[in-house]
Amino acid sequence: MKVYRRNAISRAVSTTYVVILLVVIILAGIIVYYYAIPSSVTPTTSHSSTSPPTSQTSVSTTPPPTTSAISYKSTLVLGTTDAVQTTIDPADAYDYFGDNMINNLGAPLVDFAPGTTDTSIAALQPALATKWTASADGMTYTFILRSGLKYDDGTPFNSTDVAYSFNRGMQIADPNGAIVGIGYSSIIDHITTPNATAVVFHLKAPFSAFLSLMTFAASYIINPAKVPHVTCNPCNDLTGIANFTENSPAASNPNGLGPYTLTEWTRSGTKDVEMTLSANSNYWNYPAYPKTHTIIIKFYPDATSLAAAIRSGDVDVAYRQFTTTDIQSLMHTSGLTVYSSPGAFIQYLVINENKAPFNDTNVRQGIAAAINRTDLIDTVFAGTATPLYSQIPVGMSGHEDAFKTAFGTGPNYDLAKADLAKSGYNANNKLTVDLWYETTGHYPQSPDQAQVLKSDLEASGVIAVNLNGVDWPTLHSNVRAGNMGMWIYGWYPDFIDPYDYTTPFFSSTGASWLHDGYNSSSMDALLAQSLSASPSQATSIYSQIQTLQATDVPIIPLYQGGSNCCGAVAKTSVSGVYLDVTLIFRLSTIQETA
Amino acid sequence: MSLKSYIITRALLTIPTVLILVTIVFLIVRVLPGDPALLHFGKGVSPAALAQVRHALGLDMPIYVQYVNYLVGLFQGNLGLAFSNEQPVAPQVLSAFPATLELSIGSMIVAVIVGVVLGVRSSRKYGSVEDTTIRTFGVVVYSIPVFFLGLIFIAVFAIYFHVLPSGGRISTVVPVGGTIFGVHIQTGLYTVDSLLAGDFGEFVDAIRHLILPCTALGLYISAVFLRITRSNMLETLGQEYVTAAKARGLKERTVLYSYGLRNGLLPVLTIMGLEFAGLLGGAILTETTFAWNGIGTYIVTAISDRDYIAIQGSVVFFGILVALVSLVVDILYAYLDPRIRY
Repeated sequence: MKVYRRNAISRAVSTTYVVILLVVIILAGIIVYYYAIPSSVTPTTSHSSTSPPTSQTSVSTTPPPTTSAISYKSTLVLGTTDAVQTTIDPADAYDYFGDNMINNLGAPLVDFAPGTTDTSIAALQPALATKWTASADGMTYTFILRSGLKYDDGTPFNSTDVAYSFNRGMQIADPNGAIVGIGYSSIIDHITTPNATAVVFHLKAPFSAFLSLMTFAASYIINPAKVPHVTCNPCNDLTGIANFTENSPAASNPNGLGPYTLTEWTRSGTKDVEMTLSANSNYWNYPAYPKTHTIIIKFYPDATSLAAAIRSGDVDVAYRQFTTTDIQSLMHTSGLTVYSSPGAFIQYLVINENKAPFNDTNVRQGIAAAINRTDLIDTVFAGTATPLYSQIPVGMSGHEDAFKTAFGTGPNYDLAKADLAKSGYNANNKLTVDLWYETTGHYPQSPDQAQVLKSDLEASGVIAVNLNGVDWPTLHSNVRAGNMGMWIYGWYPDFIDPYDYTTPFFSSTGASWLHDGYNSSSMDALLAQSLSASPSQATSIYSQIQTLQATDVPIIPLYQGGSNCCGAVAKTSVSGVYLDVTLIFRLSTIQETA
Repeated sequence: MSLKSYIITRALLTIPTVLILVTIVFLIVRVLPGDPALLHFGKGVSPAALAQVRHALGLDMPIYVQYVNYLVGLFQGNLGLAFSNEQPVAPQVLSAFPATLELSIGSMIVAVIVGVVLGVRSSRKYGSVEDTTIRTFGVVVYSIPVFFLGLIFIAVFAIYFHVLPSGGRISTVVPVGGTIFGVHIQTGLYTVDSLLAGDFGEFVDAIRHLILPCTALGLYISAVFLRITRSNMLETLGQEYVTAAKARGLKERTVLYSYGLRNGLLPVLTIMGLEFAGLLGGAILTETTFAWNGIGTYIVTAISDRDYIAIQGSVVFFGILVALVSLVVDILYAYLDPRIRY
């Protein structure tokens, strides 16, 4: 009897608790739906896009008018999913965030103004150099430097430091670094310093992108007193690099002429945990900049935790990288502003001409005609990216919509069918292609991109696509092995010049890293001309290069920028967030009302 | 066998265990596909540069030479240079470990308190509604994935109520420790370092950051402790000596804790040791959910980078930790229960 009663009670209790359990799970689901998983919540007026400065005087030697009525916080917290890949030494760093830290901790000779929409050489602003001239033959560039400058540790700065910075990078010749990657040694012959405030670069051959190259992180000037001395040339002596040093931000940071100085850098394992940047009172534009004295950078493992941090108020600004769903949700979150970026990050399809059927120009043109960039951007990136119809990004000097001219806005299925019909492909004999992409988050939402591309290409009725998703290391080694026919790839700018978007992709020698088999003597001739072209000549030459790309179709451009790769989210109390084509996230302009 | 002999034997057995682990890990990571040297290069790579990196990393040597070099280095406390960044692995692992240790200790405190208290309570109220409630609680917290529980906590306490941080280990600058007897000490445990620095506000902040991840992870583990404590307590409370104690008129509380819990907790101790050792290997889901960069994150990053040396180093470090914790638990067990001997 006792046993019977206990079983009866247990059954009753079990039923009760199953119901309670279900209620708890449903409630939990509702809570997560509303707060953890991005959702459509009440729209507000908080969404806005970047408003670049009305003029290019944001970086100025004259402090801006004081707005005494508004007080600003002295400390601001920034969150990111990025991290420094190796170091913040210009002789070694060749990753996005490492370069971005150099941009904020160091200074170049010349620079683009924050929020610039003009990336021509004429738009360059003074930085460490106040004047610069190029010789008529384009073989020498002379820079006149500011006098009386000091590094953040008080060491005086002069022209020999400029020469030392470049010579050191070329001497170390780190095979993983940008100096070797871009080939500084093949551009610069030698550097002379006539006096303490003048430095002259003697080139091996005319290089029209030289001034743009000077804005790149690898061209930033380091403090010779803070790095190991290097004498051999070239020596591949990586011990000369200023590596991350635990508990010693000064030893980890060879820069020292920028708006900020590094006062703390904590790593756990290989992951950055936190960096603290404090205003550098020796900065050439101090006290106008930086606007905020201390910036604490917190590193997050993924977009979800970064989105939670900005929602909860743990960080004041969040920069890179969010998912589309995060962005969509944050756009409608009260108290936050979403900044979209026209940054020069691009993605494209590489087509390997060494593999059939891609050695057929009709096939490549047919695929190019069937691409639906609008669908890709709307579906995968919620419309925040910019369709790209050229290898040279929108907003960069020389850009032309060559693919739009050749194939229309797309998809142009009639043209695709016509092109493919020339090679015998039709609805009964479809062109079957393998599309490869990475699956490990190296690029924004690659699997989604691949799915949309497949769907739209197959909508032509004459193309069948097999998807092949592999992790990033495998894709990388497959590229090197040259065993893929077509794959999704991406490119962050080294420096803002059309050279950086043409020669590395189309030169029969310079583009060997792509292993795509593209070899065109006409293209090589145009690329060679671009190196010595004057700014007025360059426009015409780059126009021809882009037209030839749209004819030969070794690469099909897809999109650029977007909130996923390059967007920022900030509290509405934050101002001075400038995102532009340079993809430099400038901390010195950001401030938050108290 | 005396206790002393037992301890010595047990300690010596740890050495071949670790050696076998090292060998297996060394071999496994080298049969994984992909060329780790390629990971050094972002955009382009020349064959000469690739060969240079392969040489610098020792990848051009025969595998047995790499193995011998690794063992020699291991005995010198050198876990090698990470492929991905050419930095020594040992300092990287050691820098990640305090985060994991702090999370593990906090989670174990939550798990032990919740698990043991509820387990004892459940056994005491065997068959009652309260027993069923507690058992249901155990099933629920064990069946909810940690990351999901973590997301709920973040949504409620960080995003909605704004009472606790959503992630990370500290709000402001990382505490730098303090000086004791002229020696600067920085443990990497933010709670300890903030106290060493004499900054109580920072200590409170570090504790606030611990609450959500430790509760999420601790509740999950508490379910294991709860069930084992309950079943062991039920078994112990059914023993004749407990009946005899009750017959002697001892108070129920005395019988429960002095006779029941003291003996019923012994098997739980082993599980606690293993769970704690497991936590020291990194709780990757918890770490990812709460932006907590510890050993788990380090290992996952090393795996995705195909960084053989970093994987080896962290797994060996974890293996040694598990071996040591198991050793301590076994010794403790033998000390508490005189019947345990080889």
